[in-house]
Amino acid sequence: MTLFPRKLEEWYKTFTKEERNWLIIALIIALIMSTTTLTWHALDREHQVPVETMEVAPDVFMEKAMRFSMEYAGKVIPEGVDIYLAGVQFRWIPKELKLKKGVTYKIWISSGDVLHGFSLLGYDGTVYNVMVMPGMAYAVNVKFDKTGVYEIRCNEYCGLGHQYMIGKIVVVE
Amino acid sequence: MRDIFKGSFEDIFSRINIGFAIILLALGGLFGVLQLLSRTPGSPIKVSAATYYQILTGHGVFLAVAFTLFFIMGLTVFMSTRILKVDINRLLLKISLCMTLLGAVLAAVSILTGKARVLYTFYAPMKAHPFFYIGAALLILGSWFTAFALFLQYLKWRKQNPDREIPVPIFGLLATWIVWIEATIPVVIDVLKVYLPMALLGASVDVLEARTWFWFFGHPLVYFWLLPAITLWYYLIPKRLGVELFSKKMAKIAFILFIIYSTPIGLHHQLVDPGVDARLKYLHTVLTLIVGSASMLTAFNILATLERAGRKAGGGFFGWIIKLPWRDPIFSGMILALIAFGFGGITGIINTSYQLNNVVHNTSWIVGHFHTTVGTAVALTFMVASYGLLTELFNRKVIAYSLARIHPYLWVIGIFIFSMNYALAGLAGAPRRTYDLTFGGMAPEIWYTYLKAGAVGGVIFALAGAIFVLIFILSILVNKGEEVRIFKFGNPHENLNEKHSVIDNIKLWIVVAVILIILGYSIPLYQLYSQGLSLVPPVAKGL
Ligand code: HEM
Ligand SMILES: [Cu+2]
Ligand SMILES: [Cu+2]
Repeated sequence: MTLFPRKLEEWYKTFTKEERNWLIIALIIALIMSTTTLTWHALDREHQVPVETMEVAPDVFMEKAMRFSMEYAGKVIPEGVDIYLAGVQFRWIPKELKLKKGVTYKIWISSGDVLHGFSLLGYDGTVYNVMVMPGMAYAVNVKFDKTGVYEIRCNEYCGLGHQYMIGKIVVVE
Repeated sequence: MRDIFKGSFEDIFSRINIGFAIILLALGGLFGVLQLLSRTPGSPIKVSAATYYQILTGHGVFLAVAFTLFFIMGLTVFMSTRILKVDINRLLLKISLCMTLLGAVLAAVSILTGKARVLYTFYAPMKAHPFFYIGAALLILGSWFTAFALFLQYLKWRKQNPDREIPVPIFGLLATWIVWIEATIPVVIDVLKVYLPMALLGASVDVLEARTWFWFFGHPLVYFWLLPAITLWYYLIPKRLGVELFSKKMAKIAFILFIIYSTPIGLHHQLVDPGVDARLKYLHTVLTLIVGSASMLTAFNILATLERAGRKAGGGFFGWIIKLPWRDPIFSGMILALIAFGFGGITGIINTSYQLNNVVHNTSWIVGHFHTTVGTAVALTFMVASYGLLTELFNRKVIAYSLARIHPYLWVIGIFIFSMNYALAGLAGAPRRTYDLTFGGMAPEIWYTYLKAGAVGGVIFALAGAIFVLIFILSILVNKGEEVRIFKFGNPHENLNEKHSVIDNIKLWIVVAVILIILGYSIPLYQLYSQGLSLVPPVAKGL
């Protein structure tokens, strides 16, 4: 098998000027886009891609989330406590989280059964979406700068009651 | 009607595939309208939740998977036999037709009887009836035989023409099927290793494993849809205009970029998945942006061709634009498809942009995105090409040609209204794949405005689709062929130059593609398996 029967530069010369220029422009645009998206990632603190994950069996995680939900039902979650949020057909456990303004929390998110989607929607227009995967927990670090109510919806189809999966984060002083 | 099944086997094969594709388009479109109305707040027409997710599965499978595949199979054989003018292996085509039809029927039965409400992405650990997965496997394996038939036909041609360049449309079709093979090997692995054991034996699954193989397939899949559309643009637009394509070489380079770059970028669908290394996510982002440059080459090539034609017809600096044949639906449809693809490309770049993805992921923004890409750039191109196929393949006169002239414009107007509003709703946080978007009255007001406006656009393009389907079916049923050769689809009088030692060297590009796929996927797969699988039981309840 001959892969390169002719010299490379000979090949390059067979392009017209327009063809060559456009090819180069297209590649430069791609490179600019790649660097901007990386720079943006470094500068934008609002939409970080979470990196921390943990393998965990669905039933184990469910138990953690239930225990957490019982312990902090109706209470403001103190700083430094890891939060466990489970999606399960067709609700969030716990259904509501009370967080303090200006405090950074780590929320472990996972599923008790099928895939779900964690979609956070703030009254201020904040939108943030990550996948909720059974067998794997995702750590999302959040800090809210304003008080108010943020809604959590499931945005990955998980069954016939998918549209009823609504939760809440209430941010207080 | 009966003479549809007369003629060479190759043509019968194409007619069956394309006819079946149009039926699927009609059915899927009907589902689309029902979904659209059901999810619009305040609409009087609303199906039940169970029906909604059932027809949503049907919509995705029938349109995105089956309509495209069958149309492409028919189109491939139609074009390759006419352009290459060498025999194609009929036995392979027969096997292909039987397997794909059987697969489609099995999958359709499982969906229509409500045994597979898993959507067209069938994410584990949701479990559907085994027919669904067996049908999918048959569909894919069957389609490989069409690919083999094309490859053999090409090799035969190559033997007879050892030093000619590959005609651009054939280059496009070869690229299409090479990408299809690249795409489907991982999904076959996925189905055999994860889904069939789950569906048949109730075996536990690792969700990340299933998703990684799935999107290893899922991204090149979209290029499998797109490449035949681009092939048609390159082939038919210059023909309608009576000029040469601006640059055959650039066209082939664009196809080469698709062959080598379409696969090692699938992680851009998993940018917000846990368990995938962030650096790999970024790597796939960059590779995706590079494959974007192939689309820019295409746009440049087509636009330069248009300018050449318009100027030849006497247009000036901008005047050439009005000199173009805008009343010709095949021409206007393809140019509108190209423009829609521009918007699809821009939204696509946002989807793939690493952390912007977590703003739009799984929102109705995505619905706006793929109705301009597969839903228009591909579907509209196939629809208007069908007007040509009616005369050249089905030997029919197109009825109501004046309506056919309106169809592409109506479709694109509808799509823009629909997609723009759905995209905006997505930015405001409205999810996709959701039956009731009012969330018991908890949804923001602004969603209602966008969804209602989007519904207006949806109804408009559904109407355009209905016009097309009626024209197609009625032309076949009532309008027996007369000699109206307005169209020169299968009659290329292209001069083929001497072959280019690098560009026309398909073997080389396959080797490069394999190397890049290994580079792009060896680390993700290594990480996936070395961190140990995290098995979870399948779930069939609640679906
Ligand atoms: C005939 C007019 C059509 C209408 C009214 C329509 C409407 C819709 C709507 C409203 C959705 C969103 C459903 C949801 O997320 O809950 C959707 C999804 C989708 N549509 Fe269409 N559509 C049409 C044609 C097409 C065409 C021609 C294609 C492609 C060839 C297509 C491909 C898709 C795909 C792949 C999905 C995603 C399904 C999923 O999320 O599982 N649609 N369509
Ligand atoms: Cu859900
Ligand atoms: Cu993709």
